[in-house]
Amino acid sequence: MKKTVIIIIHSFFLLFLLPGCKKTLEEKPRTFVSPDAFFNSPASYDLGVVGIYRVIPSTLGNNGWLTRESFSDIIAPVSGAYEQGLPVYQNNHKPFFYNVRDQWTNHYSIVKDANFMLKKLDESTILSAAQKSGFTGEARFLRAYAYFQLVQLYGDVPLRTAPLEDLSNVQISRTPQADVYKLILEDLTFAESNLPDNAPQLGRVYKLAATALLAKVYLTMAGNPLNQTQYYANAKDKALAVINSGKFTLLDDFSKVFHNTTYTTESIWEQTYQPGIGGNPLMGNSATAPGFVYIVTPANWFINSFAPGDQRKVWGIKENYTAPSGVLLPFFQKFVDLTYLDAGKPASGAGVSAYTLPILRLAEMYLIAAEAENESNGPTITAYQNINKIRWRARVNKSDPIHVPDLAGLSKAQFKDAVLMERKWELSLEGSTWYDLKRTNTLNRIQTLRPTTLANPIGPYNQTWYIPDVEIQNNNIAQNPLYQ
Amino acid sequence: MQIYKTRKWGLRLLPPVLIIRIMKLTAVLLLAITMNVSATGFSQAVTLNLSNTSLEKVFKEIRKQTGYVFFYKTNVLKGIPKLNISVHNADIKETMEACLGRLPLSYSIIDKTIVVSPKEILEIITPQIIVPDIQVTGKVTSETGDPLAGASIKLKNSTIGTATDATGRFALSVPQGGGVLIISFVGFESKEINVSREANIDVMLMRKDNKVEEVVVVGYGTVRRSDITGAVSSVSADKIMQVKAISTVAGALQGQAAGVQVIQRSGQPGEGVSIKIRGTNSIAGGNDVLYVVDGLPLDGLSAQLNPSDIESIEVLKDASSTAIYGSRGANGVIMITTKKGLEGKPKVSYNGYFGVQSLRKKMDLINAGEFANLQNEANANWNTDNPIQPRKPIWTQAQIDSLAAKGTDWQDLVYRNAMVHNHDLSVSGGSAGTKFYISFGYFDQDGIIENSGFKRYSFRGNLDQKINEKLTTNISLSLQQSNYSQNNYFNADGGGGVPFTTMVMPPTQGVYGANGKYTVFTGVPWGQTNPYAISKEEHRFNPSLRLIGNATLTYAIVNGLKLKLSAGLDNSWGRTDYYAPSTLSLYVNGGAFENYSNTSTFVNENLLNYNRTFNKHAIDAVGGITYQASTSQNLNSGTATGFLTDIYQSNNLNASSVKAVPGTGYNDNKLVSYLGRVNYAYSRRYLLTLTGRYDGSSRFSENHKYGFFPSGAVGWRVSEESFMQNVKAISNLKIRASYGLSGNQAIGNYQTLGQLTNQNITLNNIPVTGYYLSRLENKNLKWETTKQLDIGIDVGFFNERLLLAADYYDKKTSDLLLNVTLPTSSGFSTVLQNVGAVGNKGFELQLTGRILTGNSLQWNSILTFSHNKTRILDLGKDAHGNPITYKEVGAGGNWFPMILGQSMQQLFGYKVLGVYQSDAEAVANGEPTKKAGDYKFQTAPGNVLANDNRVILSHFEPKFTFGFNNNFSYRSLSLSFLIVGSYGNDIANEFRKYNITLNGKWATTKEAYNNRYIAGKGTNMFDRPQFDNSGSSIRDYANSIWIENGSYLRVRDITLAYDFSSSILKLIKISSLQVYISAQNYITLTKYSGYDPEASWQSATINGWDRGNYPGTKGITGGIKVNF
Repeated sequence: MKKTVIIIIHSFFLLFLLPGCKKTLEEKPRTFVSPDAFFNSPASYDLGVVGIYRVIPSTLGNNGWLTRESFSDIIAPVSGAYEQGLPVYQNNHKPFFYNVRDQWTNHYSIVKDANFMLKKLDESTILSAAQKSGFTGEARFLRAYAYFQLVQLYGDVPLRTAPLEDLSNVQISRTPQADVYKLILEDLTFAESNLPDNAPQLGRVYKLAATALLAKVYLTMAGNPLNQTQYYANAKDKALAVINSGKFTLLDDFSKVFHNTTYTTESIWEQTYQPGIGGNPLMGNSATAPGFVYIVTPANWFINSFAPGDQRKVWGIKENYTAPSGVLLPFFQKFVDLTYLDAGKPASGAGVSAYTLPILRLAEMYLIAAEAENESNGPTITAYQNINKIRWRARVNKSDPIHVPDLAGLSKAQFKDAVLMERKWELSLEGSTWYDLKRTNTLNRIQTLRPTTLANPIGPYNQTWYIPDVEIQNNNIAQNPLYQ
Repeated sequence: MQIYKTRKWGLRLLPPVLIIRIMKLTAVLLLAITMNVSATGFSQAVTLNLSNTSLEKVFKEIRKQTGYVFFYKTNVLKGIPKLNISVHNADIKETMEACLGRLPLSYSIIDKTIVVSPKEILEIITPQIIVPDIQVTGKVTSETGDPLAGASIKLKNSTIGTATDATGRFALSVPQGGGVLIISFVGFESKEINVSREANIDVMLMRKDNKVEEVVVVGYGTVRRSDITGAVSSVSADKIMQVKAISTVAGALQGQAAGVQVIQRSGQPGEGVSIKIRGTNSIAGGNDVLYVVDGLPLDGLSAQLNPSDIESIEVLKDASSTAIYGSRGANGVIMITTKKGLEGKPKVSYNGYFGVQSLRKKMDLINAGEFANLQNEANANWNTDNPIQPRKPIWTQAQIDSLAAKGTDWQDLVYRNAMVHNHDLSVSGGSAGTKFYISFGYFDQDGIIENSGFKRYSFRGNLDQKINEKLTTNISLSLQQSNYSQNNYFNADGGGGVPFTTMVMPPTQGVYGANGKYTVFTGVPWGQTNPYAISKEEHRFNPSLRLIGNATLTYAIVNGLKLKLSAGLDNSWGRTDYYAPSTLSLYVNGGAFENYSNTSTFVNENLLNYNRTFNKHAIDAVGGITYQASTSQNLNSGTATGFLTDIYQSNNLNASSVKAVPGTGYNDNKLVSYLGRVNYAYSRRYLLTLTGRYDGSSRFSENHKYGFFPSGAVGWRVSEESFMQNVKAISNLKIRASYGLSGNQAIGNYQTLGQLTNQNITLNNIPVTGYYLSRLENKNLKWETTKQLDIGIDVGFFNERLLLAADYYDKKTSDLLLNVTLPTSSGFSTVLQNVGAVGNKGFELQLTGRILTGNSLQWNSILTFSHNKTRILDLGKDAHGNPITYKEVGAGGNWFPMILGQSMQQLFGYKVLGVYQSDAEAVANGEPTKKAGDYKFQTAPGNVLANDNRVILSHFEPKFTFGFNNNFSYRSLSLSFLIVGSYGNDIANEFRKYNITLNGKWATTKEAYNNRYIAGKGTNMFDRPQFDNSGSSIRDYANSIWIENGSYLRVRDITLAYDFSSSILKLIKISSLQVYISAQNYITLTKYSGYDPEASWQSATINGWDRGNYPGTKGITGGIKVNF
């Protein structure tokens, strides 16, 4: 009896104990931290800024290529095995396509992460002024980079400069692209003056990276559709500032620019990879061996367009390459590890490639300087010097006069065409191809070069991509007008 | 009657010594006392108006009116004159007085039996030292009159007992004074009968499974079947063990209970099987049922319970029965009761079988010669946009001819015959105070693909101990060691998925290439080493140990009031060893990892139960507090690659050249609940049940920690009403209705908290930890609520020979835990919110019949039928304030979106109208880039999304599913078969996009090859072979070609068994022995072209998405069952 009394007392003890324990139901996670508790040291801010870089590799992968390379004039048909690849190539893309959605979402993720850090940095009381401005410059650089992609791809876009606090203000309207560019310039100008001279780690941005990106932004603003031609001068200044900084030098051999696992003397900003953790994904989409699904292979006319002795073709494009499986279709070698093909390894392992991927490199600065100079002042000596520097580097045999001869005696318009062509030869697969067609208002070249491959004729609507369907449905904004 | 009373008093006043003497009294005295006690309760009215009638006839008339049975020796009535009797509305006592008052006869009433004996016996109270035993004889039959051989007859509280012979007869000597006989037989309700003197009694036992008095396990208690107001299906042990070679409890339920849909995910042994009760309630919150084993709620129960330890399963379906599980009850509850010991001689049972399984069906694919020819054609047609590009090498006719006979049949190489065997040994028994059940089980099933299989060692011990009159305790412990070898099938059409690659691997390739290495499938970029090599060399081994223990203490406080305290622990440890050797393409020089996980759940329940009957009012109430806490931890080594040797496998990750990055995880959650239920019955006719649970979950947000889930139900046992007494055909009729709320708390742990997540970011070629904001805090997230109305009817016809249980239900689940899509310009793509609603309406019935009940031939049959209609009622509002009609959820993406008004995810895409016969036709149809021989898509806008040609292509939900279970027995032979099926559902056969694509990269079906488009001789079925591009449009876009009719009818099991006769077995001390042979899945009628119509993938909300599952099997097993 005594025992049972104890039991009853015990059970009633439990009865009254439990309701008192409202704290019992409080969650105390141990695998992540709360946003409020984290920032308590300069190192924590550093890790928050590093966090902004997390999405950049995704913006450079196959969806980036589909959007910025394969819908262009220099590319042969995309493999039918690549889901949604052919429709993009055929100008038959849809607002629900992965590449359309991902390019939008990924860049806005960068904006979100940057805005979050900018707010935390602004509130910080423990950072030194230098730390604060340095981190702020880095976050603003990355935000500007993301908006620069967004505004080129989609036109007017929602502009967020502060983090989302709650769900009441998820819907905001589109900002005219000129205003978006304004923010980009402000951010980059701030970054240029506040970023450190050297990045703490390879892959992070620094002062001259901001200068280089500014050159590109100015060149773009000066072109279609804003046509703010006054910025050609700024573009040239920034490009020359990078060239003349003494920090970078062109490599003599074009082939040495690629197939590296770290920066070269020409690198301004590159994505590095680590095999096993995250490899360069682009080999899988440019090699043509069995199992590989190519979304960028060179069009025939493009292969034939190179001057004799151009390393960018001799090394850069593999024609009639023989692998264990037989002769392969022509492919760009920029990101392809031939030892992999020679060994007959399957495409699935292609992600192991550790080759770096250039986002900004010195060669482009020469071409920007040349183009901007020509646009401002015509084909001056400065213009020729800059473009011929790149052509010199492309020569297989530097002493053979017929190998990629120096340009001379061109009209302004001819020079303009020449620079554009030079960019195709030099920068193909590096993310500028579609942007250049848009900027120079030459998208129609696609219509001219491969009309039979198009499901829909090229038109002004091609100046932007669709706003993704999920954004239209969930934000109160309209589709790009020419698509409606 | 005065005389008896006096004697009774006298007895009570006598000192103990005298009592011993009075023991010598004859049985009649005792009977008299008994009668005196029990007679007061009788009130049945008798009206007699008889003249000149024999006493025998009078008794008959009384029996007619009251149901009282008369017992007397025939010579007792000899010489009794005929009577004139007139009583009106008299009770039985008065009637008997009127009949026998003046006669030399006395009577006594025992229950519903009246024993009549000569009065003079009363006078023969003579002291006798030795009293002879009284002889009781009789016959035991079933309610159909068949004799029950081997039924046990036992004198209560003694060791005296016997069993019936083959004719059901028995004879038993009972000590003078008599007592209570317990008559029992397996599968029948036991009966107790008072005996006090020599008698010949005929006893009829009622079958347990047909009796309305059967006890049904419900949440936190039991209820008599007759008093149930909710919708509860019961499945007995023999049905659970019916289909052999099944490792999971869920798999055993297929076709056995109405309203329960069992979804076999694959043929991989040991693979979890999912169950859906009454449709799909939740879009993203999970649709898993709650398993409760002997009162202990268990998470994620699959193959860790030995089905042979199960005594019965109850499926709780409606709100009245599930609301007691509150925030976990919405998807239904499966109550499992394990076997317990019975009082009596220890029983030893062995149950074992052995079987062989094989691929159910082989796909009809093209051979090597046809493949070479296809490559030639595909190559010739491949030129449209790149005329100067080099052609692929072409086979010469001689090569093709020489190939035709050879070639590799990958299906033959990969699929094998696999054995399965199972052994269960149990010992059970007990005395009045202690009952035990101990079992050991061993189950070993190989998969039809090498390196896949499932092995389980299971132990169970259940012990019930009565401590004293008020206190009982129960402890149950179970331990399962499962060794699960998993084949690479979950990767479907990627990462070396074996079933997929087996189908598409070209027959022109061999296992080894010219270089002596394994060949690689290069048809897709994610192709890997050939499937034969992967199945042989890739090892994924998952051993796990699960320990479940539960101890309860029950204290009977006062009459009817019981306190039950219990504590349970559920602990599981799991491990995955993975190794892919360097000979496979999966990793560079091999890859390996090891994962460890441990989950521990503690459950404490404190229940107070009150069960009393006051006159016509019966109350059964339970109230309690429960507490549950779960913690889980895991350690994943990460994948190490680059090993110099394959001997390490996963045991020496440090030897790798590329090191693994380990990760750890931690999760915990708690649940505090208050629950209560009252069952009230008036006159056992009018039933009322009220249930409520107040659940607090740590997973809910700050503002909604607690939720309340009430339900109510009423029942009316119409058959108990007097106006039904004359309806002989209907032996039982009950109408019931319930309404209530239950919840789904399937929010992940910590989902309501703001989160800063760390991620590795590659800088300077090394991973650097970065942090980012991955989730905003959500203070308002709460459970999903399902409101359910259930109206049901239970009818028993012809003395319960035919039983019908039918239910109609209407459910609405609202506040769905749905990832609301945000404009991604916000930086977040989704946020979990309580938005939207899903409805499920349905009808289900179960017919149970004992169709033939002859002495030798018997036929029992159960038919279950379920119809359910799921409808998405609400998906929230979009940014423009309009109802969202289209939503992409989880793995389904834009192929399988949720569409308002449809039943969950449907295939959404383009309708393929055929194949273009000319280029002009393509241009005219608005597809200018297509050519003759390409697939023709419907280009008219559909009606789901504006300016979009996509339409809804599928109907995944079956119109109905059914199960038909039959058991015939003829003397010692019995034959059972179970038919299951589904009607009116589609399957999205994603295999189709590969096996009809004629691009020369992968093998296709003969059907596609034979009906391909050939210019000039155009067919309308399959497109033109074209290297790289053939079929690209049917791979890029979801389309109607993937959709196939998924209806099927399957003979799940046929078993033929033979029981050896007990007379032979007695000699070798075996009480029963059965041998049987059975076949599983041998007959399947379906139009589905894939491996198996029971196919589903990944997300439970898309049933019938086949994308390379482990194929289903058929098998033959033989076994024995022995009881010692």
